[in-house]
Amino acid sequence: MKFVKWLTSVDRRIIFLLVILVVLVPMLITISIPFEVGEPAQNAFNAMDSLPPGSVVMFSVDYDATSYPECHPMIVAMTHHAFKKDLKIILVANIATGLPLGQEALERGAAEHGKEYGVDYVNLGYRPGMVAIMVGMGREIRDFYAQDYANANVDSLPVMQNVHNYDDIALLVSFAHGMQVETWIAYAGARFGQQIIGGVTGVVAPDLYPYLQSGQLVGLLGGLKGASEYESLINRKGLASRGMPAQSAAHILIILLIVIGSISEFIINAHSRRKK
Amino acid sequence: MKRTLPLVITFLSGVFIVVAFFIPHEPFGSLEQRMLVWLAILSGFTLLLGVDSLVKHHVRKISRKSKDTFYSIVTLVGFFGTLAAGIVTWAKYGTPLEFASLNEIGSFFWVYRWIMVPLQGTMFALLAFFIASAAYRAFRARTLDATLLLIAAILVMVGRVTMGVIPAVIALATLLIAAGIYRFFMRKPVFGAILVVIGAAVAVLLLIFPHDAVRLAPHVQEWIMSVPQTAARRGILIGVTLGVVAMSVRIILGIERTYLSST
Repeated sequence: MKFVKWLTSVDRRIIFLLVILVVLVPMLITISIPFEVGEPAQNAFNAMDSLPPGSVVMFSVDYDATSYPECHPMIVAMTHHAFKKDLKIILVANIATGLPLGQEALERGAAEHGKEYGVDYVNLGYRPGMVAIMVGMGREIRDFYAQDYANANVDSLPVMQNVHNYDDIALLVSFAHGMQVETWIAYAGARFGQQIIGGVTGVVAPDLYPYLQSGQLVGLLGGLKGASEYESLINRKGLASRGMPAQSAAHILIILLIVIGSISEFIINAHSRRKK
Repeated sequence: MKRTLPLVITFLSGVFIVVAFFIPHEPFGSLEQRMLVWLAILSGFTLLLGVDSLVKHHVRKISRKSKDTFYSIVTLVGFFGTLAAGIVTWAKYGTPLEFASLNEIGSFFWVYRWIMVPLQGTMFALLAFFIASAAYRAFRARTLDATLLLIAAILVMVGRVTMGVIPAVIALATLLIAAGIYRFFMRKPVFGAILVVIGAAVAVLLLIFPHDAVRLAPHVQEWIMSVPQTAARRGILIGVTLGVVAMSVRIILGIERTYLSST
């Protein structure tokens, strides 16, 4: 009974230490475990993969460094997929502090695939007024993005030559850690029929399942698992695949902690009841 | 006048945007676009207000020499330091977000990559420790609702791992059996028996078909997310949306005036 009582009031620093161990050890040793790709991630891959070369996709950076481990591998993987398929990428951001992450992903992908700025991809930067921009782009993108992030006139960039509104964008991908995907669905999807994929943190993913079922989202990458699924689909192991064993170990630890905590409490309650 | 004018502007803008949604043809379409551009410009000014408020707040705290003065100094140094880095990069490259090559980045990007990203990442990473600790202390199968929530949570977590499915399912079966026995002690034999039977069934199935458990786990997770979770979420969504519509109508008609509270 003494041990059980100790278990219920264990020092939280011991739990912290366990978390450090279960996250660090799988990261230090390379573990590769095959897993099944879920339907939402497969649909996202299919939507991107089925686009003809030269199609324009819009990437919206709706996350920042707080969600880097989950959302960044998604944008990296999708950038490589898009460039490999010879798709054109337009980058926009609804979170100012996330824009450089998207830019970095694009620049690295472009360097690897030999793509040229302004011809194969463009960074339109951040503009305040998320909803106004989402609705307004249905009519004319230039009303809100007359210049790119470096103040170059968008009309001078070949990639933007025939791109004016959602009719010219084959697919929109929002990498988000908040409600931005729902906002894209409400304003770009529902009103203008824009095809949308969500690349979101694990916490946000459950909120988007109704849209997935209704067809308002053509695909969904949820959390690190979604990102690693996409990486496995494009046969390119990246940050997510390397992080999955650590996340899995942490999940298992949390499950074990919950079970141990509950059973300890059952024993103490049953013991005190018997005493009475 | 101070109250009436904003109410009139709100009413006219609200009604116009609704009309333009249903009649997107000229002149409504282009006028709506004009109003959206105004909205984006106004949003830009709200950022300036935020900056003004932040600086004033911390300058005031420093001048009063309150006990958190140090943090205010750090905030202001961080703010003006980042601003200076942005201006220097802008002057040099024409944009603060210069990414000339993979090896050459501007000072603003340097500050972002090597200071802001690690700081934000570190803050968020602390969540893992607190979640683990909180799960251990607070997430207990005390009641029927809590037990059901716990089972669903564990199944979803099991479905999202790429390794350790079998130990996790063993832990789930153990929890079910323990919760069932506990219910017997609490004089709830029917619920207790149900939990023990389910727990035993999970354990036996795991022993007979260990590989199928690994294969089935993501499907079980997907089912929970797609069916019960989505049903509940959809109900909440419809309720929230109806509330938003009602509130919007109240604001447009001037019934809801809390946004004018400062006037």
